[in-house]
Amino acid sequence: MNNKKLWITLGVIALFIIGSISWYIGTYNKLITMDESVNEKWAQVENVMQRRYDLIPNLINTVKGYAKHEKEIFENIAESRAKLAGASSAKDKMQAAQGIEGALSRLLVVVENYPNLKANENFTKLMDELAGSENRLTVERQRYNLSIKGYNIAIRKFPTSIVANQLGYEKKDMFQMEEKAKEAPKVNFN
Amino acid sequence: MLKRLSNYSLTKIAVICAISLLTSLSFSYSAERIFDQAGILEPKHTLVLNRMIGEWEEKTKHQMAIVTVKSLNGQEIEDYAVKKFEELGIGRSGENDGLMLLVAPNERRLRIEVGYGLEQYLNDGLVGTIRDNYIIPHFKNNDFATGILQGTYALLVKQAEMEGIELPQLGAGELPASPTTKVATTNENMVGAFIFIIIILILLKSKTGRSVLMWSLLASTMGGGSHRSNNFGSFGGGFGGFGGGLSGGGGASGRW
Repeated sequence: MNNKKLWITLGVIALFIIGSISWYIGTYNKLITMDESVNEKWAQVENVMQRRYDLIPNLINTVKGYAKHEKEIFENIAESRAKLAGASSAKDKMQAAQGIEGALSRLLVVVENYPNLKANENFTKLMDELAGSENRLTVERQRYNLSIKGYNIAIRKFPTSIVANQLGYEKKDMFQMEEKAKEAPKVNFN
Repeated sequence: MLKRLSNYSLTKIAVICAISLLTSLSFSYSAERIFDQAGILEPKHTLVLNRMIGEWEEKTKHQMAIVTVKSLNGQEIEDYAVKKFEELGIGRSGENDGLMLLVAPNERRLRIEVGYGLEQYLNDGLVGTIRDNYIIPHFKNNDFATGILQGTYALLVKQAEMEGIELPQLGAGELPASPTTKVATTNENMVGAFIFIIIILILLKSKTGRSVLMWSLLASTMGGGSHRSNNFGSFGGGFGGFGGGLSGGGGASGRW
């Protein structure tokens, strides 16, 4: 009789342990997958950012031919690009990106004063590339933010948070653009 | 034994159900590349567009959709385009090699959205040039059909050329001023009609053929006559469903 009771208790404990372990493994794997997905999306963001900023030297060369004396803006852009090159964490990169966007938008406002430049075929193409790269950045930024959202919720929810803590996973920052930077480089096709 | 057998047939039934569901889904999804919500295209334009896209898709295996909308519901056309592209799933899923021309005539906006996989052939500058030279001038005259025809033609021919694939019917190399005259030859319509007549003659010969003919005639009258011209257009073999491709915001937008 007593023996039977012991076996039942042992069985329950064993079941509990097995259940916990399988839950732990499942959660662990889920979190790793989510983290990887966020990293992948961020890589894509960096990819399109790079593509966008690779256009800048070409753009500046074209604009310089028509607007030599807008030195300040060119220097501004060069400075922010240097900052981006020096940034290593995602957060720093996001900040540097905002700096570049600000400088770029000022450049595009200045460009409005040079009708000859706007008529330049090379410049039109560059503007299309620039608008396209901006749109790509928006799309990848949104996809990144969306994956971050799921990730941030998951790592803070109990009891998943226990595993997340052990893995050392922390809340990640969304990539928000300042409104000003967001609207200014919209290219006008009229 | 009996139990195992019934289990087996159950899975079998489930598989059959799943397959039939999938095929019916892809079937209702298929055969369409043109979603003219705004109603700016006539059947004759749809016919030509389907032919052009048909040849391009057959040769390159990429996919293209033309979407016109009554309203963007207050969204930016760029956002709308990315979502629509994902919703339709234009292009094959691994390749993401879809292409979409989106026109919102009421908002006077257009967008050419290029899937990830086609960005290497159709860069933004090239797409912008096509927009400026082949689409916008016609849209400015409110001639949407010609703009869409020429724009589509230019995009398809240019893409194939960049990839080094020949499109014998569409032609390649320099873009002609007016592709419509070249593509929309009445000859092809005649061939379609000829094949149609031959099939009817063959069907008339046998008893089963006659009943098939009678039933399809009955079905088509019940379905309304407006579908007729479309059926005619897809005589050269219809389209498959879209493959679930994605775009990442590549392409060009414009207004007029």
